Amino acid sequence: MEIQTVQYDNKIVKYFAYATLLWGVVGMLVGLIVALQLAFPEFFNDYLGFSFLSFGRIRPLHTNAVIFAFVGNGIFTGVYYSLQRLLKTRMWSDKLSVLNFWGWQFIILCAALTLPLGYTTGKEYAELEWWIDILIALMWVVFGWNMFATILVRRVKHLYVAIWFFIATFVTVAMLHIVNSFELPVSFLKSYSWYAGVQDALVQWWYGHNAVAFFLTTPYLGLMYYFVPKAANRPVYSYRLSIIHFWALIFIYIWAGPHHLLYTSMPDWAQSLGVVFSVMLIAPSWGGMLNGLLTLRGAWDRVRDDVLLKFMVVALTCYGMATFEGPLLSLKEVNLISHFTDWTIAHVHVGGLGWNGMMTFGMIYWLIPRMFKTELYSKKLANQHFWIATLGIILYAIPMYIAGFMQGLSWQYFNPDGTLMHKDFLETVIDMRPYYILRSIGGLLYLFGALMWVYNIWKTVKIGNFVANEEVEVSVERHVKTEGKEYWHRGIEGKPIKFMIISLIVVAIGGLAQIIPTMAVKSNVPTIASVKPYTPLELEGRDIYIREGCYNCHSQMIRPMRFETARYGEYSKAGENVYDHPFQWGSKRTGPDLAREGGLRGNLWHYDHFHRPKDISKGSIMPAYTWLRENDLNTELLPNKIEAMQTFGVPYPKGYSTKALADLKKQAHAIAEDIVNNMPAIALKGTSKEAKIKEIETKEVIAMIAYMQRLGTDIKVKPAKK
Amino acid sequence: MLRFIKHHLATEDGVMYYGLFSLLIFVIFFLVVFYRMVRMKKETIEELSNIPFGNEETNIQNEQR
Repeated sequence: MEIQTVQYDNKIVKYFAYATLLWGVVGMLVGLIVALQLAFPEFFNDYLGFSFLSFGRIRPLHTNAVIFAFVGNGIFTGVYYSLQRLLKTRMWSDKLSVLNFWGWQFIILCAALTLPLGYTTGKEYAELEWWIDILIALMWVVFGWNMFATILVRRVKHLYVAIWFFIATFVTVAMLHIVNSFELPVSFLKSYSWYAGVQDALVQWWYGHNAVAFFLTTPYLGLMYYFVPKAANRPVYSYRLSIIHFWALIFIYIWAGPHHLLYTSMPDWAQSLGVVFSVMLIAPSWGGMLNGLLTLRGAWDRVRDDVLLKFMVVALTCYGMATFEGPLLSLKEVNLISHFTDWTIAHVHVGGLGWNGMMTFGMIYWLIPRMFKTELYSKKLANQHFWIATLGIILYAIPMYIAGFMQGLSWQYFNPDGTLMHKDFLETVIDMRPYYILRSIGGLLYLFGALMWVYNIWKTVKIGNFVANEEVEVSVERHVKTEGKEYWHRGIEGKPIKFMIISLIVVAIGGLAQIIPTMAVKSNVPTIASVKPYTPLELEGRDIYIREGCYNCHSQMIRPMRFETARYGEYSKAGENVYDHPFQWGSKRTGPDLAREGGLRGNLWHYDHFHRPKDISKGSIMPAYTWLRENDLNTELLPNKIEAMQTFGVPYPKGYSTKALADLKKQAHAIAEDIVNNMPAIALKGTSKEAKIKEIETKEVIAMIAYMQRLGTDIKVKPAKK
Repeated sequence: MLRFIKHHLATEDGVMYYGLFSLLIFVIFFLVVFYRMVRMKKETIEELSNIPFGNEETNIQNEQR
């Protein structure tokens, strides 16, 4: 066998590891801030009531930061380290590696700037605007190109299972990101989703669910298959199991998206498919978890002393718990209680903090000393980090579970006389406060642990000597012939491009099976004759609703249940959302559903409520949107927006884009007039009514009120017609 | 192709077959992978699972045995 010298590129691994540390702390800090906003809303309102710090804008920053910045950089760290060693080959191009690094950090920076400023597409976990989406696609291709080129020039014969997971991650994330990000730009910082209503919801949750699957799970399973055996010094428990669980996992995961939309106005057949495949998902998920845990068979005594193994064991246990809970949550009966509540928040944090967080901590603790040719600065500190982080997860999850059960059940309770027990939604919000405080403490502990991690790594780096190019002698096995018959899987493993295409086909089956019929079959979205396009003012108002991230706390989806219709009114129909680019059904009710908000309250109520919610609704935790009264509505883009809607087929009259502004002003004037006419004289502060109308009719709040008053009113006009 | 799907999804009965068909694809796919996996040789499996312990490091499993 030929022996060659290889230099592994550790520099790129170091860069990504540092970025993981940095964005990990930033992402968790922003998470803590949003948790504190719910626990202490008065403080934030009184002292930190800035638009760029409001919950609706910062919560997407938290989710994007931890998913794409913290875990994203964690993926790259682990892949760039393990791929080179598993293939006995340096990364194909250092230039592409560096471009991947800086490109990704630039994207994160753009996200950190645009999201707090309210530039968002309004689709969960895909909030970034169109040009950032293009940058993401480009950087992802750079990563994939470098990975495949390295695989093609490898020195080994077999592709280890970890690499299959990396390949599946690459193709599927590319597919999901591109399909979900079809949007029509109306300006540099504003675009509309190509899809509308039900179709947008289906595509979005096909993406959203699989962002969890193929960004938070499959790459980390790949890392698990490399780092757990390395840390435990023993091969994976069952390689056979890894083959079967890999193919089953990537096949099934992609079908499960619709479980995020149970009891919504999505077609029933799609919901059922989602449920069945979600329940099946438990088998491959647990296959992976057990394979990881059983790798430690006969070495459990080492877990007591080896802090890295502790992190990995907790990571795998949390993965097991989250993937048991996932199928449970997708059963319709359970989902009825859990959906829109903090139960979902608990669920994702068991996965995020437990699985991704703990695995990342363990991986970096393992990598850095090796690349710096030294021992970890303090194992004791790492051990303390482990316990603080574990305690943090428990303190985070348990209060959120309790809060979730309480919300889910109390929304359903009826009095013996048939009226809702908690008719006022606010009651169920106020009850959550102790749990929100406890959750913040859990988050604080976890963040504190992460800071200990950063300190420990920093000290390790200082005492070590970094080996930028690690030189090793390796045998070239690639072209060595096996005696007898090759094993079957080599047929695709030996040809990575073929492997990628097969993976793509496997994951595309589920996606196509769900998306094509929903797009193609007209009967899936029954049209309702009385549903009309938004007026220009309502459209502008809707864009403000999206900008402020209202969907983070308010759903627009009334499920067909008695306890839902008794509280909110007639259940939501698919046909009502046909002009909604993007859909705004939401996934969490920190505030009440708004699908039938239109006409429930007067314009003046909304005018006051947006300005100081807690004065109007005692105990409300909604941020005060004071800037809506201060900012003038910017109508510069209105003609472009109308034209964009016409491109989608929204039936505005021909040439309406030039007339829209006049209609907008007329409607704004009418709303302003109504508000001023109903104002108590004292609120006018000596100004004349006319002057007051003039003052407020151009403000953003008027557009927002117009949108609020429109919500759900279409079907009240005439009975629904097929 | 779309016309074909349209036709069969026009009624609720069609949708039922659609779900069953999806499940069937998976079951067949799973059985094929499962069969091929079971038939794999023990030596191959051992070789594959030792890949992370490349020849720049000692082969841990053999050492332990």
